[in-house]
Amino acid sequence: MAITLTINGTLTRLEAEGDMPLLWAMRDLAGLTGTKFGCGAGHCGACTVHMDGEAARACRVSLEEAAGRSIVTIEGVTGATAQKVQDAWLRHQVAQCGYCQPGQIMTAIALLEAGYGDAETVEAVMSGNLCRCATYLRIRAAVLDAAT
Amino acid sequence: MTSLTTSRRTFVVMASSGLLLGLIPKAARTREIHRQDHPFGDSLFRADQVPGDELVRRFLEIAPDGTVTVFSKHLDMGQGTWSGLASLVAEELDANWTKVRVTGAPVSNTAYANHMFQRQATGGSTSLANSWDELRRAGAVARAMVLAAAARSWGVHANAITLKDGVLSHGARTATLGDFAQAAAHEEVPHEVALKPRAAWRLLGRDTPRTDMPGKVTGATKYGIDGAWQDMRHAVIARSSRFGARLLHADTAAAGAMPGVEAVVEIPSGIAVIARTTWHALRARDALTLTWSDGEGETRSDAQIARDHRAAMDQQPPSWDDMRGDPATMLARAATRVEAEFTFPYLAHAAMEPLALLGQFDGTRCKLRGGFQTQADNRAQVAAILGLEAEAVELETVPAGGSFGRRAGFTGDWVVEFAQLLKAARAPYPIKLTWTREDDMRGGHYRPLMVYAMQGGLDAQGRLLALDMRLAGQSVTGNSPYPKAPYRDITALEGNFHDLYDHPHSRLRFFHADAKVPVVTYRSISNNHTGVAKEIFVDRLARAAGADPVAFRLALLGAEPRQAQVLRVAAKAANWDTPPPRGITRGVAVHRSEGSCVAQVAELSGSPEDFRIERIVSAVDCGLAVNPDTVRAQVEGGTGFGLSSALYGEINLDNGAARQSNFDGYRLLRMNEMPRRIEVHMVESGTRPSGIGEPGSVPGAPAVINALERMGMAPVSRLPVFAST
Repeated sequence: MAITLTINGTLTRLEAEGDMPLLWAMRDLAGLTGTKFGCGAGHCGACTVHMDGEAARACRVSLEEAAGRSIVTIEGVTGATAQKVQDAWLRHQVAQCGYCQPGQIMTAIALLEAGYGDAETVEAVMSGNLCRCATYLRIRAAVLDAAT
Repeated sequence: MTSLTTSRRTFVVMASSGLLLGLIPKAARTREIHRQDHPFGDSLFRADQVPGDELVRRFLEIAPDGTVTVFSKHLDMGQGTWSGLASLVAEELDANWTKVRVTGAPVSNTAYANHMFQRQATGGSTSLANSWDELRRAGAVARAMVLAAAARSWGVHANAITLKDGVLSHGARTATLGDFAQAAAHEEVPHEVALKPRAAWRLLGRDTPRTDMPGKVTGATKYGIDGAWQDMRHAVIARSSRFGARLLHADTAAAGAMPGVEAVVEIPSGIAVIARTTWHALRARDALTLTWSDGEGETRSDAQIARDHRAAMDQQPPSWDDMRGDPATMLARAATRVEAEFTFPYLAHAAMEPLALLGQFDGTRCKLRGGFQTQADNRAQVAAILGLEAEAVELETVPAGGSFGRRAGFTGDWVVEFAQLLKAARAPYPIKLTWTREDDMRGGHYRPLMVYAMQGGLDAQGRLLALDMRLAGQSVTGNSPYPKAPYRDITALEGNFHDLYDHPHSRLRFFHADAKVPVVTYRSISNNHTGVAKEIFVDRLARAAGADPVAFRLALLGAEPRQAQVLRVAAKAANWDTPPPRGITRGVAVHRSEGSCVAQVAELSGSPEDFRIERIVSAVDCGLAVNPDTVRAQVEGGTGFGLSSALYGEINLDNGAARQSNFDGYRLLRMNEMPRRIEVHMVESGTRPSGIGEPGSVPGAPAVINALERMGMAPVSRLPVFAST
């Protein structure tokens, strides 16, 4: 079947089954590999994208659920908050292997855009995203820096 | 018993015949470290006699637009080595750092061997030390030739031209490196080039931003799992969940009929499904009906393996036995005896990027793309399976989303299996194989399960008089094709109490106890258990002696001045001699691994059941810090990595199959469990760098465990501290 959704601002028609996870549609059909496969079960946050402006784990969203909605991935994220977050990531030299960072950044942008930026909430929410290199202190510093 | 002379002689023989891990036997290492600036010895890292123009060809390219591309012979798996290596070239070349790019070098044991391992491989935290001379020299030769070309063109003396940030200037005339890159190739190659004195450095020794940071922040970086070639198909493999089981029968009809499926093929490790997308392949894999042999391979639980390892200590002869003085008599005479047993579990590397490979085989040539860590061995392994000459196999090395040792396995299991898939599929299209998290976590190739039994004796004054330590388990080189002795044992022993602390009567025995669970290198090799056991045990000895844990260690570090120094610096920075603030308990640990020393003081609040690590104060001696910010990052992250293992990490086995399969069962440290602050103080001890990718992952965990035990937690005998069972 065909599913229509907006990906990074462009109305896109994907030929795929409705129960295909958005993660694999982004990676294998749309060629947007910035959305990372980490666990496939919603535990790690590496595949975090924005769906109608809210953070969503692409491995837990089916194409059917995403139909008609607006999906933004790390490749297409724009705006003042995104800029501030990505600048902060560079300033704090956050990434090591970098694999989880698109998901970390997408989570952070959604959090700040929702109006949260206090240390307690940042730690609580960002604890949902795993980083095996344990760059957590720099992630936290970058999010708090971007929040000011 | 292995005598000192034997191990030294064996090392010399093996080094000349090409060893893989290149770990120097302890006897040689402990003695030589005091004499030399660098513990691995100068000769291993010298850029030998390679002509300057050849060095330039191997390692860099200057494009007409001034972009400098550095070819890295090492894999960047997060440790920042691509950026560090490029900074060596850029410093001597006086390149504009913002125009420097890094890419993986092709395969060549001639051009790109790790001087330590005599083959192209990344490991042992050796990259920067390895290329310290050769890459700076490559940059300096290129600089001299560009200047000569400019001088010829402008009709002036080369030394009258200034070169800064990639721009050449003389009077009003300016040009970029790119303007003379082509002409430079025709200039005479200088025999000798002077390398910059430290005072002239603009990039080295400074917090230079990493070249890979922008790509990792915008999502542009393409890892192995992100590879995409025209007409590519996606594959997953169904493997046995139990180690060593054989596929008896496969019913693949239903899977083959699923939509999107291109092919279902049998390979030695199981059944591969090739489909239009990864999801189609996964869905079809679920429809396979596979029957695996029962009763073959590993059938034990991890608890049974631990009991068997412990029994091996009493039932089999040691494969390594080193003794000084008369520990048995002295332990019997000791005023106080302290005993401890530790079980370290199997650990999965659990890199955030699951293993993945992209490749195509057309019958005569094969091309592969992935995060290769042992490129030349991998190429040979693939060539052997496909019946090709090594030269017909091309490898493109891209950055890895973590490895922690997983990609460095001696058998190249993950690359070999992919070659088997390409061979079986004989496909007219490229195939990308993706491991799911479950495949990765249940696929073995773990940090081995190790069991320790330690006894220490103190004299009436509370000094360490004697030690007897035994450990048993698999060695990460036990299944390697390389000579077993002494490497099999050293890769299980390095970093142990007997070797690193100076006490008069001591015995160390290692019992090689096998299991049919594949094991491989894991960040810091053996130090992830030897160092942890050492630092927990020495702290217990200090407590039994009623001694200050820093002073107690310093008394044992007479032969280790660099360790003693980082310990003093960390203690001072943490105000060790002043009582901690109310509600804070401190713990300390120090270790040397991969040629670098790290000491850490942990400060914990709360109770053993509900605590927070408020601060970790670290002191680091990695010779010379090429990029201090990267050193800090590796110590911060390494500390979190070590804590994750010590507090939560374990793979349990039921009937020879891993119980944990994803992050719900295999718990990793999260942000809210990270120390609130990590301070890193640099202690510079040399004029060249030693490793930092691994050493920062060792002492943090025992420092925290020591604090927990000082808070009143029951002594740890089994890792992780918070076991799931």
